[in-house]
Amino acid sequence: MELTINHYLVLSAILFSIGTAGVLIRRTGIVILMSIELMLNAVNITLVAFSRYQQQVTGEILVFFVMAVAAAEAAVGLAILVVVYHHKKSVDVDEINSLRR
Amino acid sequence: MNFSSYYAQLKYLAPELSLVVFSIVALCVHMFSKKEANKIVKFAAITGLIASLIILFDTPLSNNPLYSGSIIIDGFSFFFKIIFLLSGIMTIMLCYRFYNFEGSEIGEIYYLILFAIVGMMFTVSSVDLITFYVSFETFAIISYLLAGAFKKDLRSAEAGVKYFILGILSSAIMLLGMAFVYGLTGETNFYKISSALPQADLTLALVSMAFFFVGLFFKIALVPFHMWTPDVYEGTPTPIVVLFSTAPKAATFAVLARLIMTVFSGYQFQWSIIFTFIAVVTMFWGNLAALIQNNVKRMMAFSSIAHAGYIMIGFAAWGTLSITAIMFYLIVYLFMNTAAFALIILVQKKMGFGENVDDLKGLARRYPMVAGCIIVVLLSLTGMPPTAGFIGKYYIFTAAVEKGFYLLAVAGALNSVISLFYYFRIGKAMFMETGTEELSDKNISFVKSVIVACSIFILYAGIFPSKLTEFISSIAIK
Repeated sequence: MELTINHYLVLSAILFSIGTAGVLIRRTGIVILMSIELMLNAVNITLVAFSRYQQQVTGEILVFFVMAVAAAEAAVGLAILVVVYHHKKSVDVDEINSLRR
Repeated sequence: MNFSSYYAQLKYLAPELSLVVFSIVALCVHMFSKKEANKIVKFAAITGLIASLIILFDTPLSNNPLYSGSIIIDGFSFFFKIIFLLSGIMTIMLCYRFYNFEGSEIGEIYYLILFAIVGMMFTVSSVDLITFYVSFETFAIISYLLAGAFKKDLRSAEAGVKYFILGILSSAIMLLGMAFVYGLTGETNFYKISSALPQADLTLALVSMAFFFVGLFFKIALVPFHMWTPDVYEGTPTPIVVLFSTAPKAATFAVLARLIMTVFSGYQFQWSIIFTFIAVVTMFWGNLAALIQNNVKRMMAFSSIAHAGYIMIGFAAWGTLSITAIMFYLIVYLFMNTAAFALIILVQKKMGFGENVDDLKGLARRYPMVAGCIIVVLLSLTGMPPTAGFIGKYYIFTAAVEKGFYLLAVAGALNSVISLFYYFRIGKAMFMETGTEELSDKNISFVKSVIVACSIFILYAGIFPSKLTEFISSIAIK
């Protein structure tokens, strides 16, 4: 069987859905961060597949920028979670509810 | 393209580059010195913003994309850069009082504000998916940090977490939309995509457009994606909210305008329907939810949602008239919102105190001039003559009627009436009721001057709107 662009797109769609589900279902801040990384990497697979399909490198260049942004997001996210941990001794997002609903 | 032409094009980026230089200077000063350096950092930040504003007026404009078609320095981006720089200047001026009574001043926020503004300036100039993504994420990531910047208060950290999780979720969805747009066309330049996208499959193009808009709608806080707004506005330090509620929103509206003019220009029928629906829902939701709030910050959060709804009317009825109306409304909104949040900073004593409507009681007796200016601001937020808010709404509703969106204009007018009730509560608390508590009168001169300057602009633009309108229509996107 030959691998076509569809296989890559389906793979990335599955990964993206797993990531989205993880963000919505899991309640630990760290796991939410991991799920979002998964979503971004799913998009990276899409971009590389499209780039290959279009016979150019522009999409692959965008992937490098996405990786850099993902790293920055992880750093900022962990920093914010550390601050929350100092206050609450927990990174469970359900317990973060002092602001009025 | 060779290197010499790259150097020649640097002169178009002078405002951004000077801001980057100033923020790096502020960063180094903050990093290598002790706590007393915060004053220097603050001074460097505000000098950088003012210098950049002056340089901006000297920078030549060009209607051709620069740097291999990734950036355009046109009148449209020029206008929005003025909004960001003014917003940054007023934010830092309001920081003076806020950190004077809150204590634990953190020098980081000043250069973070500067970096965020650089990101926004590049965002409104970008006409390429890669440039757009990087600059958009620059200010998005910094705004998560700024929301959580007030470390000693749990609520600030909480606002940071909520903004961060929802923000990166929506930007990941937006990135997926961008990946689809790229996959369908094989181009990253907005103009090239615009001509290539109509050949692609209609369903896929619409799906990618919907994904793309999710990230933008989140930043603007339109109704299905507005959940973060009240919590983040309440938890974030008040001067930072001034920045949040004006500059990133204006940047995202500008990007939305550029996208529907270029990338999605072939799908006007479809996005017009989306925008109509979202405008109506956003206006009603924002105004009705604001009615039951007692916390002024939350009330202003819902009010800002409602104002985004009014602006979406202009996007639904897209045309030359509505572009001018949207740009007019955004600059007026900058001054209205800044003055309203400056009022909160004026009466705030500690995080969580002085944010209720009751805390405004008797303000008119202590600060008659401020209270008078705030009345002008409240009239403008409601949309009553002779203020600029009235003119802005008038332009937007006229644009809607001109394109045949009569019901949309009626819904907007109805919402102005609803909003009267909660804005009036602020006015009533200030003038009709008496308070007993004394305010500390330290360092309020900056807050006062911001409020007075904003209300003067609102009155001036409300009574003589023609100059501002002419200026805007001369530089508006064609």
